[in-house]
Formats: sequence, C-alpha cells, structure tokens
Amino acid sequence: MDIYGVVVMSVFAILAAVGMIGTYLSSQIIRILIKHRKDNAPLTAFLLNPESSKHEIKWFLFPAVTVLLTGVFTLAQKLLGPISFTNPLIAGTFLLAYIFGILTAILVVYVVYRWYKKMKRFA
Amino acid sequence: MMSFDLIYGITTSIFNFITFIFFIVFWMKLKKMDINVFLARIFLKADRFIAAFFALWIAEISLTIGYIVATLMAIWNPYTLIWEYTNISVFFFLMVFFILFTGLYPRRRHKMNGGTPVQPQPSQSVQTGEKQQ
Repeated sequence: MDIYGVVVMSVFAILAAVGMIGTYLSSQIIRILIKHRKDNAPLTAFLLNPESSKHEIKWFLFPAVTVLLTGVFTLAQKLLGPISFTNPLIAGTFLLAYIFGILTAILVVYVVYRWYKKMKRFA
Repeated sequence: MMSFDLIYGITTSIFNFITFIFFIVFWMKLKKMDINVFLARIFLKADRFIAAFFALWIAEISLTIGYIVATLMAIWNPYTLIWEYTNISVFFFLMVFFILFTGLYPRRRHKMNGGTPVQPQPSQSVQTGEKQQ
C-alpha cells in the first residue's frame, strides 16, 4: 500500500469515527424526544429560553456554509477532469472538497452535541 | 453516457446548494421575526422536529456504515468509489434534515410575520344576507 492509500484510509477511518459519535448523539436526542412525547418537556425548555435557543440555532449556520463549499469544490473538481496531483488547480479543489467535507461532518456532530447537552437532563 | 464521477459531483452539489439556501432563507426570516414564533412552532409541531432528527440519524448511520465499508475496502484498493455512494446518501438526508428543521417546506397556512394579526376580510353577502350592488 502506497502513501495515497494510507491517507485515504485514515480519512475514511476519521469519518467513520465521527459518524459513530453522531449516530450515538442523534439517537439519544430522538430517544429523549420520543420519551417526552406527551409533555414535550425538552421543547418547553427551549421555549422558555429564547436567547440561548437562538444561539443554538445560530450554530447550524457553520455546517450550512461548509456544506455549500463542499458542493462547490466537488463540482469544480469533477468538471475540471480526472484527478492529477501535478496540476495545482485540480489537486487544490480536490483537497479543499475533502477538507470541507470532513469539516462539515465534524461541525454537524459538534452542533448535535450542543443540542444533546441541552436535552441531557431530560434523559 | 456521463461517468458516475460527474453524476456524483452534480448531485451532491445540488443537495448542498439546496441545504444552504434553505438555511440562509430561514436565518434571514429568523432575524426579522420573533424567535418565540419559531420556538412555539417547533413546540406545536413536535412531529416535524422529531422527523428532522430522525433524518439526521439516518444520515449519521449511513456515514458510519459507508465509511467503515470504505475503510475496509481501501486496504485492498485505495481507489474505491464506494464513498461517493455514501456521500450522496449522507448529503441527501442532511438536506432533508435542514428542510424539516427550518420548517419552510411544506408551507403552512399562516405566514411567519412576527405575530402581526392579519386583518380579517369581511365577507359581505354572508353577513348581511343581501346582495351587494
């Protein structure tokens, strides 16, 4: 296995680990919400603290921006042609698409962690 | 016949663009309207909120499974393209999450206008019981 294979494998492994954390956190959120289906206690807590809720919603802006940049650089790289690391333009767009994709995954999981922290006391 | 690479690039960029547009429109509305309107809405429509997080859960599940498979396949062949199928699924369900979370689609009967009461239009013929000239 060459150096390219090692890099690709480590990126895949990082994303799989991030996905495991995100799966745990989002399944906990769903469990809490369904448990309080009758009284909607977690949502009442959101309703009573509008300022902090607005702050939590504002955090979703960062994944929304990085996901757009991921799409833009992915499309640019696919339109420019097959991957070649000698061409700096193609290599740059390829790497930026990778970086923004990983950043999106990490940011989404971080925001979900913030929501989970607010709902944890109802578990 | 287009290659799968190009189809993947176009599809994911469309999904990501829709995600961004929905959140930006939502954010611009949120700055204008009262935050309590949005919070009361997610309180009243808790099903939509749960469905949004369910879509996020599916996205995370597909991210996990897809990249575990991709990691294992990269041992033998680092040029595997299975992660592209994973990304299409992940970005699609992320888009569904953002659409359901922002609540901009499907549209509701009442607009988010910050609690300003809508002036009722009197229907003349029914109230007065006679024809309007």
